[in-house]
Amino acid sequence: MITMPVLQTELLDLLYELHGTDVKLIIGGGFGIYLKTDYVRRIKVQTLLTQWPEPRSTNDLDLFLRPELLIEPAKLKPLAEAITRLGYKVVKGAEKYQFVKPGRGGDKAGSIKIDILTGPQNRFEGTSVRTDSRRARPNPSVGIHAHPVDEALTLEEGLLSVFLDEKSGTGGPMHAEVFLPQPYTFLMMKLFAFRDRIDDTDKEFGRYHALDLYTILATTIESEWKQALRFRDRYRDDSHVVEAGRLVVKFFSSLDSLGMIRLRESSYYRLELQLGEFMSAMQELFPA
Amino acid sequence: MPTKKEMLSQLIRGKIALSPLSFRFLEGQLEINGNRRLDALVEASWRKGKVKFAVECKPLSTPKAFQDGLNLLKISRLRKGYSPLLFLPFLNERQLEELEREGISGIDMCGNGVVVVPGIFAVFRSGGKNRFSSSAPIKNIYRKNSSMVGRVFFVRSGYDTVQEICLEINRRNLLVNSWNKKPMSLSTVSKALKTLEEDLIITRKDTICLLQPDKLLEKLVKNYTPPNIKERLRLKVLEDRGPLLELLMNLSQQLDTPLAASGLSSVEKYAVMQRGDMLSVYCPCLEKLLKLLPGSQTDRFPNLELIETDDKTVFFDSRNDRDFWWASPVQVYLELMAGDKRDKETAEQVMSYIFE
Repeated sequence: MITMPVLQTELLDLLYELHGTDVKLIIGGGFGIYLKTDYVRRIKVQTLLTQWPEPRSTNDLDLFLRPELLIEPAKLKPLAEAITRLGYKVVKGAEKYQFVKPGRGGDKAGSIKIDILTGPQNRFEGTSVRTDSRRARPNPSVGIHAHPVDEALTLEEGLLSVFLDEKSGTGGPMHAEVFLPQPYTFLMMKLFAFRDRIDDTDKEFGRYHALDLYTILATTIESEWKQALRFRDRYRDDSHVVEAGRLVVKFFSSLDSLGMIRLRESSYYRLELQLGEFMSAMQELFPA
Repeated sequence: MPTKKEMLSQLIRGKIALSPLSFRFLEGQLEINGNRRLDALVEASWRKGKVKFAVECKPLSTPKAFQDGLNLLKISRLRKGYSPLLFLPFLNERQLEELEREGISGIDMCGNGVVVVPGIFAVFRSGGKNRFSSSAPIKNIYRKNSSMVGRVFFVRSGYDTVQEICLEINRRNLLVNSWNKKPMSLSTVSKALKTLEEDLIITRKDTICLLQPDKLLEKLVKNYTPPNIKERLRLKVLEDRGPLLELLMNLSQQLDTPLAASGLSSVEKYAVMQRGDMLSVYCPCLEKLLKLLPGSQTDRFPNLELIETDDKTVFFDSRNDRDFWWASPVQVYLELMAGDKRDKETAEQVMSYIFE
C-alpha cells in the first residue's frame, strides 16, 4: 500500500509540472481527506468531533477539475502533457480519465492511480463539452476527459485552499496550492459512493466510505458547518440532496444500520469515536 | 498482617521453610552493635549442609520495612559463623533480587526466599502469593480525596507538622473555602502520611519532607480516577474567551458557587499546547448557574462545557490567574496522562513544571 507521503510527493510532482498554468486542482477522495485532517491538525482549531480515526491508506489521487477547464480545453492541455511526462499510463476501459503509474518493477501493489473527475453533467449544458454518465469530453479533444459526479452539485463552492510544502521528486522545493471540497460536497460524494458499493462482495470499499464520512464530519470546522447548513437549505429540493437524506436515514441513523456497521467493522475504528454525535450531525445536515 | 510475636512463634515451631531447606530455632533476641538486638538465631539445613543465621524479623512488608531491615543487617557485626537473614511476611521478586545482590538471605511466610551461602546452599524461590496483602487504614491514599495529602507535597516539599499539612490542604481547596465542603481531618492526613512514609515517598524526621517526587507522581497517575460527574452540559455562550471568563467569574461570585477550569482546559498555563476553543469548567452545582447563563445547549461547536462534580480533588490547589481559577499543575498532569498519545507528550512539559 502507498503511504501518504509518497502520494503527496506524486501530487507535488504533478503540481510542479503544472506550475504557471491555469490548472488548479481540487483534491477529493481519501487523499483529500488526509490533507484536510492534516490542515486542521496544524491550525489547531475546534472541529465538530474531537475524536478522529487514523488516516486510512489509499493508492488513488482523485483530481477534480472545475467545469470551466473542460469548457476551455486549451487550459487543460498542460495537465494531459504532465500526466504523460510523469509516466502515467491509461487504464483500459477508462481511457483519458483514469491513469496509473505502476510501482517499481511494474508492481501493481505499489501503483498509483489518478482519477480525473468533475462536477455534475448539467454544468456543461449549452457548452461544447459532450457528456454522458461516464465522461465529460472537451471539444476539441486534448487527451483528457473527466468523470462527471452529479451529486457534487456544490463542487466549486466553499473550497478550502491549502498549501503543500515539500521537495517534489522531480524538481526543487515546492510551495503549491490545491483546493479541498467543502465538507458538504465531500459528504454528498461519499454518501453516493457508499450506496454504489453496498452490494459489493468485498465489503472493504463500503468500510472505507463509511469511515471517510465520519472523518469528513469530524474534521469540519465551525465556518464550514455553518456554510454546509446554508447549502442544505439552498439545495433542499435537489433530487440528489433528497436522495442523500434517504441514504442517511437508511444507512446512518442507528448503530445497527448498515453504514454504521461498516464503520464499526473498519480496521480504523476505535471505541472512542463519537458515533452518536456523528449520526446526529449527518441527520441534521441531510434531513429526510 | 501477622505480629512479630506470631512470626517468631512460627519460626520457633519449625513452621517456616524454604524448600528444600528447613529452619530450626536456636535462641531468641541477640544483642548487636551495643544495644540493638536482632530477633533470633536459626539454623538452616539441607542433607548434611548446615548454616546458622542471625534473623531480623519485620512484621510488615512495606518498602520501608524491607529497607530498614536490610540496612540493619548490612551494618550489623554478627557473631562469628552467623550469616544475616531478613524475615518478612512477604518478599516480592524485586526484593529477593536486591537481597541476593547485597549478599543477604531472606525468607517470608509465603514460601518465597533467597538463601545463598557460598559452597553450601544456593536457593532462590519466588512466585508464592502474598497472603498478607496490605490492609492499610485507607485503602488507597493515591486516589480521590486522600490523594490531596500527596499532592500537597508538590506545593511545598517540606512541612514542620501534620497540622501544618492539614491546614495547607484545606486552605487550598476551593470547595472547602467557598462551598462549605467538609475539610479533611487531621487523622486522615496522619494515616495517609503513614503510608507515604512506608512507601518511602516522604521522610519524617525533624520535618516532614518529600523524598521521591517522581515516585509520588507515578503513583498518582497509576491510581488516578476521573471525578464522579453528575452532569455534563455543552453550551454556546459568547464568542470570545475573555468575556466568557469574566461572565463566569461574575456569576460565580454572585451565586457563591466555585468554578474551576478542568485540567485539560488549563494546560496552556503550564505547557505549550493549544487546546480547542471549548472551555471546560468544573462546578459543584449547575442549577443556579444555568438559570443566569445566557446561551444555548448544543453539541455543535460549543465554547463552554460545564461539568457538575463535587469531587474535591479537581478543585484542589486551583491557581488564580486573571481572575479565573485554573486547575493545579498536578491535576493537569493527571488528566493529560489519562488522554491520548499527544496529551501524554504534553504531560512531560507539565511534569517539568511540577518538578521545577
